[in-house]
Amino acid sequence: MNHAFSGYHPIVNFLYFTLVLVFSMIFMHPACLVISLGVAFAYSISLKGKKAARFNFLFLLPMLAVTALINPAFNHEGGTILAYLPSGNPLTLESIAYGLAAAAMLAAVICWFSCYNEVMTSDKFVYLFGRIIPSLSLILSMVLRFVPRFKAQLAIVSNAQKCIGRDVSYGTVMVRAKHGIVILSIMVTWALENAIETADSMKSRGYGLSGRTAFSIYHFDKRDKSALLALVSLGGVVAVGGLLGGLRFRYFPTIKGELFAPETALLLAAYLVLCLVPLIIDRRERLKWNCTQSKT
Amino acid sequence: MKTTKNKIIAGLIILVVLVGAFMMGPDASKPAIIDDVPDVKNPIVVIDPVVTPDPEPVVTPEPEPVVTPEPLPEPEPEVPTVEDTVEEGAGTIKDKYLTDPVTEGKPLPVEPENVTVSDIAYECTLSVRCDTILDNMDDVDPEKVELVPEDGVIYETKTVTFYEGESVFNVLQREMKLSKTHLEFVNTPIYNSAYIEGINNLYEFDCGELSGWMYRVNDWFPNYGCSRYVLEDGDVIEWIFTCDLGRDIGGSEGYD
Repeated sequence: MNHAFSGYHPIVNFLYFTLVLVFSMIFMHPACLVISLGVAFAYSISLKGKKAARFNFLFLLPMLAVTALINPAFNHEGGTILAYLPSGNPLTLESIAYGLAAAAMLAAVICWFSCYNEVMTSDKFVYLFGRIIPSLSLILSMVLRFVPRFKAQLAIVSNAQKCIGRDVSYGTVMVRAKHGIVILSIMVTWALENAIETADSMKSRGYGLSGRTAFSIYHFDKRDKSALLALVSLGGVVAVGGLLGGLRFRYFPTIKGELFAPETALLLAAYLVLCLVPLIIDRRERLKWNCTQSKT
Repeated sequence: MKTTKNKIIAGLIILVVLVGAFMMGPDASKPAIIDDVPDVKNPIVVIDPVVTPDPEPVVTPEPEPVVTPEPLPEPEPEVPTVEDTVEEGAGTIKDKYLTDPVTEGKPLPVEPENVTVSDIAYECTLSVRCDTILDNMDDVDPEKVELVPEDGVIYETKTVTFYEGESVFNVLQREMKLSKTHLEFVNTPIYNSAYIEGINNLYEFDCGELSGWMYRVNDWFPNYGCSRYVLEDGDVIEWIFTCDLGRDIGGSEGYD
């Protein structure tokens, strides 16, 4: 499936994810967290379909629950005492609420990063930062690419080992462990060699030298301009409002925070639209496509 | 499919372990009641260096039904009173819980695990105050200002009941629970005592980096933890918030 937002200029993509990630990490207001988590779930599912849904509901939600449980076990601050733990310390409403909020933030950020990896491919990242910070951007893109490449190579190596009867799925525990270690050693050797080869190859092609140009198919056109404008204005509104304290929320010692005040509602609305930008773009593109289809 | 199943099982195991740890957290807050000791080599003793030597053993099966805070273990047949051997005469030697020698004439620390709480009820006086914060309102965490009472009194001076063998910490914990006041502590094994982190949501470091809770019994600031101070009838316990490591409340002998 084609995703319209992924086809936008890398700077639009990058700005969007930077804003959303930074805001998710800064704003502890429960409404912000609900918006961030909800849209992150929706966007990851629209990007990756079933796989993302399974990851979100089988991994992220249980993780959220566990993290939310851990906080009241160690944090006993708060004015509303619900009960006493077996250790003798109080179980407070505030610590539970804060645990939930922190867990929601963690889940939202993880989910946003999974979307980021889908949209901001390494060529886009190198395109954006290849000039400014050549070696760092190369390292970053190599590191980000490392895990999937390592997984693919692992499958190849383990299949080859299986052919000669030395796979981890065969034999006693000791034998299996031995085979696993052999495969691991092969993988480490491969990774090191591969890194050196890549570095040599990039160097021999003149990567990072002045005057070297790189091919790119990205073009900053009118739709990118309007999208950038929308992101900057929405992000600016939310950032300024946040700095002025419009999204402040206090968890300790008692829960206190605005939820329905007009300025808070306005900021929340701006934040929601900001998070929804790619989904709106995708939706509009699909509608347009459907319209042109039906006319002919 | 198999790998997903394994992952789910692994996740469940982690969850179960965490829940287990959550439920069975350290429970050294109560004075350890020795009941599961069929194979003790050394007999259980009530270390009682300060309480006036009672002719009768401390733990006696009382006929009249006195309210017991905890179910009592079987009374031990022989309850010898053991003199404290740790720091007898030694000038500057610390005991094994890093406590400096106690001032002459003041009660020595008693390890909570060596104490059995009997059902003999006594009375002591307890108060919790934070007057020093009122003099340092500029330093208070702005979120906590509303928690500071105008007169600095969190728990008014009151006569409360305790049971023989209980420590300052036991009394504080029980009374805070009864008065629905917040109290957070942490058990510090290295000092073998509970450490009071916060009362009424006023925590250590909330009023400057030298602030925190201290306790005073009979106008003396003990130099050991509150779980190790075994109370006597009529003791006067004061919990006081300091903003200057005890200097502002006269409890700084240990540092200056």
